[in-house]
Amino acid sequence: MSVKMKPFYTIGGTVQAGGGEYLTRRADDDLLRLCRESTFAYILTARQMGKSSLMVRAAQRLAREGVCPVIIDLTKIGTQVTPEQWYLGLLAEIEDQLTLDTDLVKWWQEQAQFGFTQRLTKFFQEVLLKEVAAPIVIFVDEIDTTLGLDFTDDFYVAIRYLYNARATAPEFKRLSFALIGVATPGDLIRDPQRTPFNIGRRVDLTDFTGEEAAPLAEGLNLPPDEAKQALRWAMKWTNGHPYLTQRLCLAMVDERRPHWTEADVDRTVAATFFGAMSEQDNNLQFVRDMLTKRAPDVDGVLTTYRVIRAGNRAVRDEERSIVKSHLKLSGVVRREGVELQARNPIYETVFDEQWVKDHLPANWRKRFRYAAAALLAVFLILLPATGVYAWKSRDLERVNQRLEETNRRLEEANERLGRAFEEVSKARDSEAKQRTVAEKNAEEAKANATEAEQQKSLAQTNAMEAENQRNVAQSRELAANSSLLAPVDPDLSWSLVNEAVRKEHTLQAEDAFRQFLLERPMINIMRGHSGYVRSAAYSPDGKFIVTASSDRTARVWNASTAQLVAELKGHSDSVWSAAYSPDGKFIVTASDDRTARVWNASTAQLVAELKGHSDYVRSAAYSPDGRFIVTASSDRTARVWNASTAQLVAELKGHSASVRSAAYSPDGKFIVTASYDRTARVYPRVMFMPFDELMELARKLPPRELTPEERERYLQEPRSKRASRQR
Amino acid sequence: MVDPPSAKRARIFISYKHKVEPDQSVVDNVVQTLEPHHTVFIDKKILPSLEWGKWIQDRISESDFLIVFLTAQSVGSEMVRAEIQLAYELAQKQGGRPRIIPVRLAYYEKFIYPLSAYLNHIQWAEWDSEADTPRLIDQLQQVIAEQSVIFTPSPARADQPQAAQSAAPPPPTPSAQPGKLDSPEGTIDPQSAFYVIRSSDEVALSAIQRQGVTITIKGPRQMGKSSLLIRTLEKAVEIGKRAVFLDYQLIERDTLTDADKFYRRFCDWVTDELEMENRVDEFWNSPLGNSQRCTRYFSRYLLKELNQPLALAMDEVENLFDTAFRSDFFSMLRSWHNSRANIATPIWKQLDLVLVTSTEPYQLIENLNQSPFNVGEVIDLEDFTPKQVADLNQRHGEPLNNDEERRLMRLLGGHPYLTRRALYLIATGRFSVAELFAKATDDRGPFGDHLRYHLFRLRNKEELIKGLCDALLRNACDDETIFFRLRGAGLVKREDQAVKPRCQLYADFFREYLKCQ
Repeated sequence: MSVKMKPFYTIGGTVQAGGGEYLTRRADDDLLRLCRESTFAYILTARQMGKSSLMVRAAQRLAREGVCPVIIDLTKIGTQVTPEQWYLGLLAEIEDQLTLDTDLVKWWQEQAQFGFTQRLTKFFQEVLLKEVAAPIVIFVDEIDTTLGLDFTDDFYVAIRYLYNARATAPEFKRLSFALIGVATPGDLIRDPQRTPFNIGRRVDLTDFTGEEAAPLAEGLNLPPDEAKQALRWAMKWTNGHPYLTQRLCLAMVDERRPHWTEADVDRTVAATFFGAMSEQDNNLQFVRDMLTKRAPDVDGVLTTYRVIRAGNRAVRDEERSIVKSHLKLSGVVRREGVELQARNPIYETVFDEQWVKDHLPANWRKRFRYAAAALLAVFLILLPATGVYAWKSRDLERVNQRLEETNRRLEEANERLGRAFEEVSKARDSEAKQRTVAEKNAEEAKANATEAEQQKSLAQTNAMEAENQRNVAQSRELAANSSLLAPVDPDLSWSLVNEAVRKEHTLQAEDAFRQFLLERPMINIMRGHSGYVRSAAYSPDGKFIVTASSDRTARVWNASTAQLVAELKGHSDSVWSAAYSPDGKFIVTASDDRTARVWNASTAQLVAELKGHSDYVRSAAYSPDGRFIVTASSDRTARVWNASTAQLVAELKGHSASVRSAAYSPDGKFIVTASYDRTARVYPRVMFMPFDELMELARKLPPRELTPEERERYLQEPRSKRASRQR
Repeated sequence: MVDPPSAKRARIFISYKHKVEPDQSVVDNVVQTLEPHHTVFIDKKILPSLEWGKWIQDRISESDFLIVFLTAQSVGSEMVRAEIQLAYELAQKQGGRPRIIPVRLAYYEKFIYPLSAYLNHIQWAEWDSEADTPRLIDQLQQVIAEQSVIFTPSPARADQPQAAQSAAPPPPTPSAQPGKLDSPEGTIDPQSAFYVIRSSDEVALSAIQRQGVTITIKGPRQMGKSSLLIRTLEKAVEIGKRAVFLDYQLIERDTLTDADKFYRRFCDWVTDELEMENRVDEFWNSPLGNSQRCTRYFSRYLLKELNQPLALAMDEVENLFDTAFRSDFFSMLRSWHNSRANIATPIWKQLDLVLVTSTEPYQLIENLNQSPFNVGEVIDLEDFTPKQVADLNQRHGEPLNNDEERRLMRLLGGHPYLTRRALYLIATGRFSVAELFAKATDDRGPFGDHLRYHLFRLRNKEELIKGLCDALLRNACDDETIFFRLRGAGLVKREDQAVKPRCQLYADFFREYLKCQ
């Protein structure tokens, strides 16, 4: 059988690895130019933009020009490695590709007196630049794998050093680096003093322009003009996004349609990316994760995206905004001039208004509903009573009408009062009969006046209430607006919150106030675990945080800086919980390896192992006095251990399924357990007291002596023996 | 196993196919003899339930021996296989306990895969006819007492497939059977007449003919993934590539908890399959990380020395998704894929990667873009379409009319294995059409063994049971991870936004036996 045709389109991995069609872009020339000039370059952009293909292409062209390219794919080195394995691994990749004369491993071991980064730079200077006479460009791909490693900061520092050293050691001018990955420079190295990214040049990878994408038409298996037209229709949807465009072209080829209309293309787009397919496409999965699971601040990311997507208000790009950098990295927005815009109609359709609403954290949705109600109220109160006679404005008007009316009646009453007095004075001279009539009239008038007075004050109260309601509504609207604007324009947002509180102290305003002040300090993110993080807890003094992870470790972090302090290694399976002892000296961890372990919190040394559960241990917690530890296990029991001797004290049985957690009551008198058997149970202290204490308790309840008959019967003691003992 | 012979009571679990002769009478005899001296556990076929599954698990784990009676019928039973697999895995953890004793009851064929992987290397006992029963009992007693007797199989018969081929279709096997991958001639698989070719087959078969490709085959359990994998490998061998097949369901559990062990085992395994000299130690001497040691072992030794393109196939890779080193390992495979493009490392063009997974890697691999699962050709297998079921019906000699065919489609939703099984049972007269539908969820019905096996697998997975109940009662599953695990197990499917049991049969069966609230 003949060897089959290579695929034309590439939807994963580097184009060259699959042999697909490569499209040249402006970035090709940019990168090549920087490499030729030995300038430090970096490409930090979203997934599936063609970074690695671009790199391979540049390497191929450089090689032809006599430059010596090296491609290091950091995923090859791995992340479960020691710092030594990582640094040596980096050099091993170089050695592999350049076939050097020096035996790397031997050389590395001979330099053992130097630190790893020192050996790295020494290798460049003393081995690499000595052996290779040509200019060298080292491409480092997938640099985001360094995100989880705590020793790679030094690598970036070393690169920066190599540049700075050019002034004194000119041979370094022959060596340059290009770093490629999905990350922001801030993610990669925190310290701006040591980052190499401010001495390097960024290469921007943009979507394909119509011209750049033109060669893709060829793969559609259509007559040239029709192919061009079909590609134009496709590009309407993808805006030239490298992956989406190729994915769509591939879907079109698969349909094997002899002719295409725009409606056909639309249908293919829907069948490929929308509905259930949006769950399957892994680019869309990536974007979805970036917008939700992996977002540093889901509220901020989603609301900002929402504003950008709506397109009513220009959103400026800011390099230093975490939210905006993250959005760019997700690929869902792109920079256009100084503003951010939605990337393409496919993303806009998949991640639409409804989707955003569904994924905003619940309290936000509620808040939006509040805001919408408040907004409506304000609208109804403030907006002209002319056109719309909605209930609020009608009310206000009715109040005013009544106010006017009472005033009129008050005047009327006063008038009648005046007239009555006149009549009284007149009547003074006349008959007593007449007087009574007049007096009666006067009284009536007075009563009228009082009633009018009352009505007036009622009307005034109503007016005040209306005014008050207006303030409340306005405060709520300001609060809602400020929340919306918080990620986009923090200063304006803050002013609005203050206005809101000044207007009226509403719950919403207070909430926004709180949220704002809360969001000021940056959210600390503790990165490094390579598995799920299953629990996190503070130390009693609040200075540290201990996390438990399915990567089989627990880690201790500085709570204020999020720096890794220590790693508790030893469990051979997922760690589910980690908690401090009340005095903060110890940490107890629970693991699927069926043990709980106690660690010294300051040295990270293993202190004791609580062994005995016959299935996963899913939680472990100290008693309030720190003397005991209670563990919960899938073996359907909870167990209580002596914290200092690691001896089993008691087993709490009764659950008919896995026990998921167990904890002491604050006074230590009870233990509450939670289980998959749909119950929680409270065990009283007697059930988990150490035996000596139990005996002490028993002493208060002295048993009665057994009678000789009973002794004979139950203890099989002959009566005579007992009698003799008594004597 | 050098305990002194003693009159110690042993605990024995007996695994066999019930109510089938001669199995039942032999088993009855064996049990009668053993019971006075030992503790014998037999699955008495109480109605299947989750408790029943746990009972089997507990009894097998405390047993010293698992005696498994093998006949043409029982080797195809998913439950028998599950019990053997459980014993096999327990033995690895518990120092060889329980020991598996296979008894071939007038069954002389090679074990089908994966039983072959569990049983081929151990001694078995044989039984030809009634007259053999006393000898068999005697042998078993000796083994149990001394724990070291070696059986003496009749060499004339062992390893000699019976030539009793008839025109009747062969029974479908629950797992795909890797044929001979080391010679281009191969063997003609009797199943091939009933193999339904789907459009994705062509993608895999044409891809494997190119130089240096990565293929991922995804789909739930019993979707035909391994069959496609094997056909793909056969094609690779046909055009002159070497093929290596690693099935991760067979990997020792303890290697999965230790990255160092695993990487070494991986290299050992491939070396072994290629029948090359093992030089793993030498490469592990270097101070590099595991991924790089492994990479170098391939690029500097295996691929270099082999001097021939290699198709490396890995089945059931989802077994690795729980490990701590998964990211590193899969990243490494992806870097091998990308290395093909690097002009400095052309050796990687010699290697094809074919990966098979039943679980959606997306849920379990943090960064899919640093995994091999979205590069190269990705093939998503689905249940049979009505057209494919019709085609299969025809190939069985059309035992079903149009209405019945549609009814089968409604019951099984195109489930490839069950559809094949149903047609086989009807075509061979084991069940009438009416009976098949009437007894569909019945314990002794056409799918009883299969359904029982599913229940057995769920026995200690409370989250999955809850998820399945949610799918049954509300057509929803709130936890995506649970959904993907259930889908991987072949139990549920997604239709638009709703999560439903994979087919009507499952819905009926689990509604009855799971007692969802």
